[in-house]
Amino acid sequence: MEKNQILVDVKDLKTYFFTDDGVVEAVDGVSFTIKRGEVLGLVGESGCGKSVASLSIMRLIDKPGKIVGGEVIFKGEDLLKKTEEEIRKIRGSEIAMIFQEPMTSLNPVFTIGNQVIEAILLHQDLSEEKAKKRTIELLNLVGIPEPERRFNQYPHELSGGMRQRAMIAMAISCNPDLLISDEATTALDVTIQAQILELMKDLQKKIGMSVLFITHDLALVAEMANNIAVTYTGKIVEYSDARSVFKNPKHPYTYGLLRSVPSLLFEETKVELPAIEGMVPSPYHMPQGCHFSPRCPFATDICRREMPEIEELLAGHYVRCFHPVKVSKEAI
Amino acid sequence: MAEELIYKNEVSTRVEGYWYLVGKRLKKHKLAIFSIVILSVIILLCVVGPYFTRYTMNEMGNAITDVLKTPSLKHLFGTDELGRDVFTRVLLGGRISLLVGFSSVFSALLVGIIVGAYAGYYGGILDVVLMRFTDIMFSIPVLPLLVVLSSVIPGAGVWKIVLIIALFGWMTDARIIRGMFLSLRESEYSEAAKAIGASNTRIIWRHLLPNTLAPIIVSATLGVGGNIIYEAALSYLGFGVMPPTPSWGNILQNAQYAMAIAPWLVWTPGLAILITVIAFNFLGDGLRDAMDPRLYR
Amino acid sequence: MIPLFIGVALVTFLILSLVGDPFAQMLVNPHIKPADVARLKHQWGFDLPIYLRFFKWFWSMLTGNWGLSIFAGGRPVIELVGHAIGWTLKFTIGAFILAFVIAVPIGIYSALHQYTFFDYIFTGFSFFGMSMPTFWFGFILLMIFGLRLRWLPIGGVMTPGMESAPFFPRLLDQAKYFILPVIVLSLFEMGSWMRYTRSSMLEVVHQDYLRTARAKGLSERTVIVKHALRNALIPIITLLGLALPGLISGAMITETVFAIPGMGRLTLNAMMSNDFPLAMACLLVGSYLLIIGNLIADLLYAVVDPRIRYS
Repeated sequence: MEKNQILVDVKDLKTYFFTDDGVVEAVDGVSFTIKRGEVLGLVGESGCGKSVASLSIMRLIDKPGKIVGGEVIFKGEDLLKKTEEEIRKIRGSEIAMIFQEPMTSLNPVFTIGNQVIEAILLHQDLSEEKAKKRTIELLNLVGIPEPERRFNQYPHELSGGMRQRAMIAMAISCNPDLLISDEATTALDVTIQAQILELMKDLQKKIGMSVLFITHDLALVAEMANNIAVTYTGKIVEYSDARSVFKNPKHPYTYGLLRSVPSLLFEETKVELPAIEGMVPSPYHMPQGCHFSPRCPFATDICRREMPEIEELLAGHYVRCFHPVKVSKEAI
Repeated sequence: MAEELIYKNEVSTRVEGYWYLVGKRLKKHKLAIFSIVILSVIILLCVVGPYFTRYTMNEMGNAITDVLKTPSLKHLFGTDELGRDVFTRVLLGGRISLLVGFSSVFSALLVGIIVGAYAGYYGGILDVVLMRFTDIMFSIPVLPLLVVLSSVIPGAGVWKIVLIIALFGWMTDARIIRGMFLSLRESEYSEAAKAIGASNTRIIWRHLLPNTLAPIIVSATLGVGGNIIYEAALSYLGFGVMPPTPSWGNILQNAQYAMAIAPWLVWTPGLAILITVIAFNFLGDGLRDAMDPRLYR
Repeated sequence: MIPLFIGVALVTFLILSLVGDPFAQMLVNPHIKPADVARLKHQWGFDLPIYLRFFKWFWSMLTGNWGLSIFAGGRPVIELVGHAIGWTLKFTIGAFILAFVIAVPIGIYSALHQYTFFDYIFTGFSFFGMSMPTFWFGFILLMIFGLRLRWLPIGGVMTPGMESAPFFPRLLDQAKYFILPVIVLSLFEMGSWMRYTRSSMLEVVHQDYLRTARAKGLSERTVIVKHALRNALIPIITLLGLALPGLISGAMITETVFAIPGMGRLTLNAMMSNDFPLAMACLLVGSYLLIIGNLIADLLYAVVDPRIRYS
């Protein structure tokens, strides 16, 4: 298991939703790569398609959504071409996912222990007794105190942070190669958020799994990610390693995101805190040309007419823009 | 040079009012619209129709030749055992049944709102007492009690029936409204209203109550259907609207004996009830979907 | 619980005391001696002020001293009620089971196959069931199956002479009489439960924890049967408990239409003949059955939903 082996290679993924009001191109040609042991941060505002992308990898897209194109190469095989049965074997054991709302993501009528053990018994050949032992080990690993007692408790008896830890325990129970974290910390208090992040970083190093970390909060991703992909309305607009993205953002959207959080910029800024005006356009009324043009201060005619392709501007740094931002001391 | 970065928004959003959205959604519900049409026709027929038929409700034809005739052009629904035109009687019965349905629901609603709102808003002992009372009323089976009340309270008017049916219909509404008020009480709505110095009464009636309108409307619509059935049941058992005033229920009362030879006496008022109540139920259901708070997704 | 019992008794008592003097009719009856009437009056506490009368009545109710029926020639009320309640319970429980067995599976199916042809048919059927006036439906069925087709008897509970027959033939005979009333009584609940199950299931089907279950790699079948159903059944159980009042009310009508000697018909007769002791007893028994039913529903609810247990 070499460190630099590519684990997941998403190529031109397209997932559309066919609703009564029109077709929503939730994920429109998204490509990224995750190597073993790496953390990729997928960043963007709500509704930009990042969750849909991750659900597409797991093939958990339901009507009216449909994966209409692209490839998801996992360990050398295209997941999109597998049968339902084969995918089910992979879910939970090789790729695991944790979600945003731990209260609603756990079944209220079953105990925590029951739910964690379910995953183990499904994918591994352990006796019930051994599985229970392993579950308690896992609960311990994720930092839940008194795991034997908690095993028999129900989700509503645990705090938000502990529920999320239980979810994590459930996810890593079968030692997955890839963990997808879909805004897993968004619903938690800030201090708990930090704890969970620490836990995830810790586990990631211990187990050596790759993580697809989805969030709208750039600050979170700064700590964990090796690479960052910034998405906007279903397309990736900037993709590079974390340091480059933070130090040298090239897409106006990324630049706007960074500027609205003062602590993130590596350069000191004496300008007031601007917010990116406007809102993400409605999926049924996408602007022509570059989707970001209505809100972009650099937009020109060509931006409003054509959609830019993603290009490798610098080594390993990809941007989808006709006028990539030049960040220099003067601009700030 | 410091660049002024102005991020513009060129996409406009149109703010649509709540009721506009409700209406739009309701229109999609074909059954509900169909029901509105049917109900309008029925109401129109019952209110205006009798003025156009050739018979009055009590006009008894010849005792021998006109009795229990099958439906014909002369008598659209046939005649009953006293020679009366069934069509006219059904229409008139409709007036009564619909009247009872609507007014009992309205009165029950009034009581239910008052009990629920005050119990939910003030909480505490008032709430406990009122809710205990509601529980007690819920525990007594309705129809038997309606029968009892009907025989116990003197008088035979239609309004007596309205009263006793209303007496047993307010509980569900009270519960619903109390529940909503319990949560609304803590909301920012009432905080804001208090902050501008509104009195409790004003807050309850002007600010909070309009928010509970949606389930009230749904419950009322469904309630009319239910109460029409209660009235019909009562009248059938002999404890409701008394003859000779026709109501859909008491026409059926006499029909039982003539069942074998005059089935139209059974079919016509029964179908009238069935169609009307189904229409109210479809409408109520459509309204419920249209007013679903998940409208704001 | 206790206050509820007392409260119900109080309300029932107050309502019935609006009747005025129930013994006036008795005085006219030549078969009843004035001395007996006076004794009854004393027994029922009519020589006492109303609040004391209530306690006296309530106590006699609790101790099984339910008095004599005016209507049925002086037979003890408790005997009449005991007899009648057997019949009522039999076919009320039958209706309950029928409604459950049909409505719940259909509701689940409808939820999982939303907007399909069958879903529309079933929805139509449930509306139909919920809008149907029971007594009219009973008529129609009687007309069709009893008169026209002559497949089933028109009313009553037993063919004369079958009381002494052995168990199975007697059961079969009774079944003939019970089919129609059970169907009629269960119709409303069937319709209502079908819709409720459907909507409960629909709500559950969109829950996040099902997504988690799928993400774990569970088969769709396991997700639905193990995770979804368990949650969907919880509100349905509450609904079952709430159906009791409707069934008891509905029984009154069904018993009248089908001439079944149950509690409902007894109450009706009691009211029509101003039989005070009988009416009180009937009403009270009906109410208490209801309360017990709700209690059972509450207990079941606690068993099924762990969130309730600890509060």
